[in-house]
Amino acid sequence: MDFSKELLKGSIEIIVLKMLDELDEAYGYQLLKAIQEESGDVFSFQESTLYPLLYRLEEKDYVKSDRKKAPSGKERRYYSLTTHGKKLLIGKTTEFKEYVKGMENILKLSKNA
Amino acid sequence: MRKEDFLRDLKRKLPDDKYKKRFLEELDEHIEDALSDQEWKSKVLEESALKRLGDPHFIYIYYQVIMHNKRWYLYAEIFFWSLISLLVYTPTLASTALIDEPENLFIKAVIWTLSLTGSVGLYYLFYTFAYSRLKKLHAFQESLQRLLLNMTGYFIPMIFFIGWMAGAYLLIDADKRQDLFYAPMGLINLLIGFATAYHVSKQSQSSPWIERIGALFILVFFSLFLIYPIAPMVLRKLSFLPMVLLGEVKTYWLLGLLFMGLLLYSAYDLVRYLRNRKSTPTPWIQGIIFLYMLFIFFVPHGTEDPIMGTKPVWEVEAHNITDDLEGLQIQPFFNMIQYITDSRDGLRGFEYQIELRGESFVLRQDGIEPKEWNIININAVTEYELTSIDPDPRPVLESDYALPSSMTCVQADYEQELREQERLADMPLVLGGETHCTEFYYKDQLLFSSTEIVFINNVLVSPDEEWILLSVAYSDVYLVELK
Repeated sequence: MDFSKELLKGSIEIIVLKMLDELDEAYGYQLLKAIQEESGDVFSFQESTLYPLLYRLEEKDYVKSDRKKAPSGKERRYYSLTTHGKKLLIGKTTEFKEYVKGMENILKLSKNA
Repeated sequence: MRKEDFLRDLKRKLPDDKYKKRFLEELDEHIEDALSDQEWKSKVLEESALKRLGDPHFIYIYYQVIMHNKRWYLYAEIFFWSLISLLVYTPTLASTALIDEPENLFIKAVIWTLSLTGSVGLYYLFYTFAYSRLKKLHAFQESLQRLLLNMTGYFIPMIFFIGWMAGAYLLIDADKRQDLFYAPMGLINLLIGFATAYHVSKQSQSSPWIERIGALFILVFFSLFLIYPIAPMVLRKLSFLPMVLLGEVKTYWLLGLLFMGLLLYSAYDLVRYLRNRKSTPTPWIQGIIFLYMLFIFFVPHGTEDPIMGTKPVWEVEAHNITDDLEGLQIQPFFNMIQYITDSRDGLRGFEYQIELRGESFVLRQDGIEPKEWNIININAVTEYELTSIDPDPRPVLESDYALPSSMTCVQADYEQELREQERLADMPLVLGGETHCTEFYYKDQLLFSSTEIVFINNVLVSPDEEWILLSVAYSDVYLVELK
């Protein structure tokens, strides 16, 4: 399913943070595949957009990166969450859950109810 | 399109910054991973992999938006407003200070420092306004703060350096050489600023450690250098604020309110952060501003006050110093260090505190028992309308004070006059303010030491040392009797 840009824009950061938290560390392609798999291919976006997003998160000290050997034997840049990133994820998760709850309540409204 | 063409196209389009190389490298690896992925083993795999990455032009636009464009727009706006604030602020302070003291080179020197540093407050306010107008760009808040911090770390040292070098230049022949101390300090500050700027320029993003070091640096140096010229003006301890609010210091009510505004705003931001630490970025800038403003308001300071008066430098011949005379050197309402040149002991420092108690006040001085003084007559008078302690007072006539003075009026800016009157050194002393002083004689008794530009805290000692005349805060004159 293709989501509108606006909808995806608001949640892409939390998706990346959450997935990094789950994986502990991952390189770009690995992360992208994990997002697609875990979301049942619901979240698919232009793959190149992942990297600038990761740079921005790194710039904010939410994410750190390190070049390491991947299982394939090739060197890849692995990303992982920092303490700040973990804190941000907790905050954003709470925020997002509240948002989803609110949305659910609104969408549950029915004229006949 | 082949991978090489794709990457070449992108390489050409992307701006030269730190991430460019890394981005291209990771995209290359990404394509490589996609191609080697089981799922992609088909003849159109390369094309599909590239398609999934996106069109190079789209990538370029996205990259620009995320990494550059909007941020620079914000920075440009901040810079613009800071320039405007500087232009507005400088003539305001300069005109006021020059009206008060047109000939004082020191004040002229300080004006520039005040003007430039004062603009930092407005700079911050305008930044806040600019940001609030663009608050939808929430994602850039941290990077904006970071850059602001870096910019501040770069500009502030330059501002202080220029300010104090100008001050040093103007004061080179004046009797305030201790101020030259600040010039090398300014130089150190400048070097640190340049080092910070260099470091930042080598990294398009700075690490949080740099932010923290920057914050500490600004806190220490900013406070050290900014407090010197501004603090005494604002300080007057807590009495300054009511004065400002009541309009007694009309010229500076804006400045006072600005400081209070900054203090409250920063406090509000900090409280907001403390209440919601998890999702709110640490407000480093607000923390710095808050601490600095606290510093301004509450740290006692006793150096030159270019706006509301200048600390007199009392210089008295050693053999004329008595306990009473030392006790009579008063600076009401704020702590200060006074220096008395003693030919035997060199420079000695004294700190005085005044505590008002209704009709009297207590003077506390280091090393001397507290003395209680009784205010027997309080007259708010203008410069030439004095009321004498004479039982049958009449207005002071010009002929009364036209008589030659038998007192020595000692002032920092009055060295020539002092030397001329050294022959009278065995007479009782009169201590005056720091500007030109005129002694008023009335019925053979010296009543008042007036200054051309009224400075606060002038003290006149009667020949019999039984009373003093104290000029406080521009217009109030107190006749004070020693109990």
